[in-house]
Amino acid sequence: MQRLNLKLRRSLAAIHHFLGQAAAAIVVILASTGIAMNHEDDIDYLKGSVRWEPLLDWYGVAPKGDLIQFTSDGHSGASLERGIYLDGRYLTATESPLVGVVRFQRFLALAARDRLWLVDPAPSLTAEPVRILDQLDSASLPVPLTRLGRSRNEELVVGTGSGDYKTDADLLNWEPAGSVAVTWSTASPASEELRKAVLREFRGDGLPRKRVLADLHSGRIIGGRGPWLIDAFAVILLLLAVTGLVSAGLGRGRRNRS
Amino acid sequence: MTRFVLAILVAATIALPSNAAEVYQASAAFVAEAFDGRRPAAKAIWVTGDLQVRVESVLGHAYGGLRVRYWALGDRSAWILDEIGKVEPITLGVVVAQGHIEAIKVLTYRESRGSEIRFPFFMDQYRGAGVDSETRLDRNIDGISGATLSVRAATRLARLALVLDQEVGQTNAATQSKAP
Repeated sequence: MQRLNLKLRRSLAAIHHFLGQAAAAIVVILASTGIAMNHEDDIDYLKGSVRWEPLLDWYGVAPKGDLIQFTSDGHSGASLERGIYLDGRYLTATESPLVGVVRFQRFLALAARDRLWLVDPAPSLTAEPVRILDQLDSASLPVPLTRLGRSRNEELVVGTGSGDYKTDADLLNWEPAGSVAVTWSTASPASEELRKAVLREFRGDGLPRKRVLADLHSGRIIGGRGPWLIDAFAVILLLLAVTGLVSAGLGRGRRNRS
Repeated sequence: MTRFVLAILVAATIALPSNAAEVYQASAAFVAEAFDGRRPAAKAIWVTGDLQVRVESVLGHAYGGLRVRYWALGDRSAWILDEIGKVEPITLGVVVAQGHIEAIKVLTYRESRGSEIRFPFFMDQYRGAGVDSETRLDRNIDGISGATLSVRAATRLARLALVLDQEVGQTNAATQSKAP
């Protein structure tokens, strides 16, 4: 009986050691994140955001689709997913990509399939944000637009499936452009610097640190199966506790007998 | 078995909330409908000076532009206006006649929830509404549970259309009084 107990104790001890080593790293993560979560309202650091790009990539905070850029008069107009960006800064939302950017009078006109914006790009030295002066939707445009240009007479011209149309100086009325010569806006490759600027704007403030902490604690940070893995380690911890208690109990019994 | 699984996947996709915009009516169609198919030429009003102050007091923020375009015939005007609900803009069409809302409709809804505001049981509350001297609506609007922000956005736009219509009316009256 004593030999059986000794064998059992040794087996339990071996299992206990193995499980302990396996769970050690997870225990460290769970304990430290748990303590942090208990006091998250008091820890200023946790009130901020994470903008580490590999983590944002991991979370899927990345745009789908390509960046499309047009340049005019030294300014860059780009669209990425559902955003319009002027000179690398977020301007407004859109439901379709840009089809052109042209200078119009002293402003910039940006056009998508069913919207046109007139903006005052403002000198880059001022802190004032870019001002949208006017925006036209399908009620004020011969949609859908396929391209944007400017005639030799400085008229704004849009191309549509049913022909080209030009507008008056007030952008209020459109009429067929006829055979007027037009310089059409064409897309151009974006520089790496612009891509990074737009991506930074797209990603905004990043992820709240509290969110990342909670996901680390729950296992969600590694995806849908993460919580199940944490549950599995919880079972391992339970087994650790049980094997440890049983082993300790057997050891106490042996000491009492001796 | 494969077909069954595929059917389940398709159904799940349909059931998931969508982030795509729901277009209930094109802006051009709304304006045409407002004037029985005889769409007048577009006009624009500049949101500057006193009007800018009033507009900002209605919206609670600066207007997203320097001018607003509208269509008008006689004492009726039609407006296509956007306002953020929770995070996305809601596009509303509003027809104002003799200083009161004659028609109001959700044209495009982009939020993931709250689109119940487009139904007549909600929108009809605005019919006949006007604004007082402090640009408040002259009636209470019953909200919709789960669509509070969309309801508020719709109310702001209704007020905005009425304020802008007042301004257009005042401008026209001033122009006519100066005419020889």
